[in-house]
Amino acid sequence: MNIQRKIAVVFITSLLAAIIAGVFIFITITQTRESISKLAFISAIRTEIFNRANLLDEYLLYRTERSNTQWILTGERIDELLREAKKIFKTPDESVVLISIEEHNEVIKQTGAQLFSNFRAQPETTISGEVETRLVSKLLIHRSEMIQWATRLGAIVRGEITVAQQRLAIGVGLVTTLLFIIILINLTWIRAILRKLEEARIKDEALLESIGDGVIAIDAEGKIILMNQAAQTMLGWHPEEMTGKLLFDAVSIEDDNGNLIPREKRPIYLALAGTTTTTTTTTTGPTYNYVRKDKTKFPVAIKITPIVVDNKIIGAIDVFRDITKEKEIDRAKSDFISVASHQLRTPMTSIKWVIERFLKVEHPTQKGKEYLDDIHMAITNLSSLVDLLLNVSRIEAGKIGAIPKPLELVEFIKIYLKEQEPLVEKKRLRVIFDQHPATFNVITDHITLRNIVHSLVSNALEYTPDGGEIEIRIAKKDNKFLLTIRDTGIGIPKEEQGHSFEKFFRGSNAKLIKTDGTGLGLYIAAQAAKLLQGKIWMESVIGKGSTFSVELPIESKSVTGEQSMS
Amino acid sequence: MTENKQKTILIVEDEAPQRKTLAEQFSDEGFLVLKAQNGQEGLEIALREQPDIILLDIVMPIMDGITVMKKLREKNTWGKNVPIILLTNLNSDDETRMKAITRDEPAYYLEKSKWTLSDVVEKVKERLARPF
Repeated sequence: MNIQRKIAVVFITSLLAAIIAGVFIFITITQTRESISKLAFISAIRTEIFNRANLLDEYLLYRTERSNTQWILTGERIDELLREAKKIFKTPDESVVLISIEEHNEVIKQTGAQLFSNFRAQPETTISGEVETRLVSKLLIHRSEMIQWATRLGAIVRGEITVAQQRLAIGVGLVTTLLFIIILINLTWIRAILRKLEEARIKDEALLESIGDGVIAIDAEGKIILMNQAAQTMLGWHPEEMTGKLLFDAVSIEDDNGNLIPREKRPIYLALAGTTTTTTTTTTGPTYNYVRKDKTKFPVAIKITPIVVDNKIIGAIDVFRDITKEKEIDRAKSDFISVASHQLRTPMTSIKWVIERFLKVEHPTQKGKEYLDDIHMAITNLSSLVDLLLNVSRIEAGKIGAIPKPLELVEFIKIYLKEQEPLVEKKRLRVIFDQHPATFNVITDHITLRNIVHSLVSNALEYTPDGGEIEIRIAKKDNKFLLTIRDTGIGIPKEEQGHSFEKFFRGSNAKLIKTDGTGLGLYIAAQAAKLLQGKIWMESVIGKGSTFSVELPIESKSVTGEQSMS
Repeated sequence: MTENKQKTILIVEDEAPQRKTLAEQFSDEGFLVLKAQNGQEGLEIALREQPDIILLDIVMPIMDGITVMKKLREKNTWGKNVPIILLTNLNSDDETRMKAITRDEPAYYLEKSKWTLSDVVEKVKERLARPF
């Protein structure tokens, strides 16, 4: 049972206990009041009985004194009491008392009335000895009986009191015990709950402290409310120093060029202001650098999110980690690629130039020239391959950016086609470039566009048999343009077309013609198109030809990246 | 305008085949060719012989091309103005290369693996034809 439920149960049982206790006490009090009423009434009766008994004494006294004292007409009073008694007493015991009182009452009434009337009639008259004796003894008997009854009533009263006392005692005892038990149970539960809460708190704290990433939480005003162990260690601050401080003042952040980032541009500020979540990693997003207490800095990968409760932003959390190592590895990878590509090019250049000299100086035979041309071609391929691999590795690392600049597309293509003339002539291909506007200005990254054009056109040239045809078209389409390259080449088998733009894909028929293709050209073209916020697709019929289409925005947006394509 | 005076070119390149082929090509074209195997040697020869133009490789042992260029540029009038063409196979966004180009001057540079010998000769002639 979770904590909230437990607390609810505690509350409810306490309430119930209080209600039961209240009810019990109420009942007990009511009972007691009833008992007290009974007691009061019984006392009244006793008093009356004793009064009666006293009256008899009085009578006896009267008889001896022969005064003219009037008897109190108590008949009415007794009647009144009897009426009351009938109301309250319902048990047989009490009714016997009533009857006795009534009986005595009659005797007294008769006796009293008789005496009274006698005395009224003849104040000096005395009752004859025998009648008097009988009357007196009758009165005496009645008197002792009355006293007996009074005593019995006393006992009843005492009994009632005892019962009432007992009841009260039991009631109070029960209620007290009940309350005691309930309180005990609740206390035990409360203790357990508090313990669980404390445990949970300790666990949470331990969890937080053992997280390798730094965690800083701030409230809506930017004051630090939490800073875990990892964060302290990384930043060199103690939590006591930090709690309550404004994060903006305590920790500053810089961009990768060492420029301080102003408060309004800080991701955590943005998180507080609106519900902006910022996530950066080693390879994506700008690299922020946190400044330690001792003013040194380190690069971080961050995830900053606002804390939202009931649709209100009450703070923000910054989870960050030191990516110095990762950046180093990344740099090492880049460096390796750079160095490798440079190192590969060195012997290639040597071979190329030596061949050039050989051709010029040694005047080789036709066959010899052929051989050398082949070597030269191979070296050119190798060079392209190195560039290709360099591009691929950069694309993989997500490092490629694009810097759009103005470009006149028609001229661009024409120049490129001119460079391909040797191969075109060799294969006696017909290259058509008619369908295009006279001039077409675009804003795009030149190198990236060149990569696309080169990839597609070189494929067309490579895989179109001698005597074939290649056509390039440019068409404007709203704020985009469409570049199509159609060939009468070998095409791509239908079932393989879905994979065309995948890394290392080579059509099964293409492999037959050119065994050593890389399968990277279309992959790079696709990535390049994506980089320029464009699309690329193709249609192809095996044995007939292919048409590759590239749709690009006339005005590309720039993309931040450490490097550009080569 | 006829070029009566023979132009002197200093080729500073540590890769032997490249150095040799460049030298031969320029020799064929009528240049007086000076050669150096590393930056240090290149600097010495440059200061001594004061060639009309220098082909300077970047990645070299002992002293690299950028340093040579820096040192030349801080010398007397001659060093400050001598045309230099950097040869390199470094990537276009390589830091060393970018620093050299952007910091010191909009220097000429060639990507060796993309240029033929004839291209290089063309470039040199073009550069020499410019008065500045």
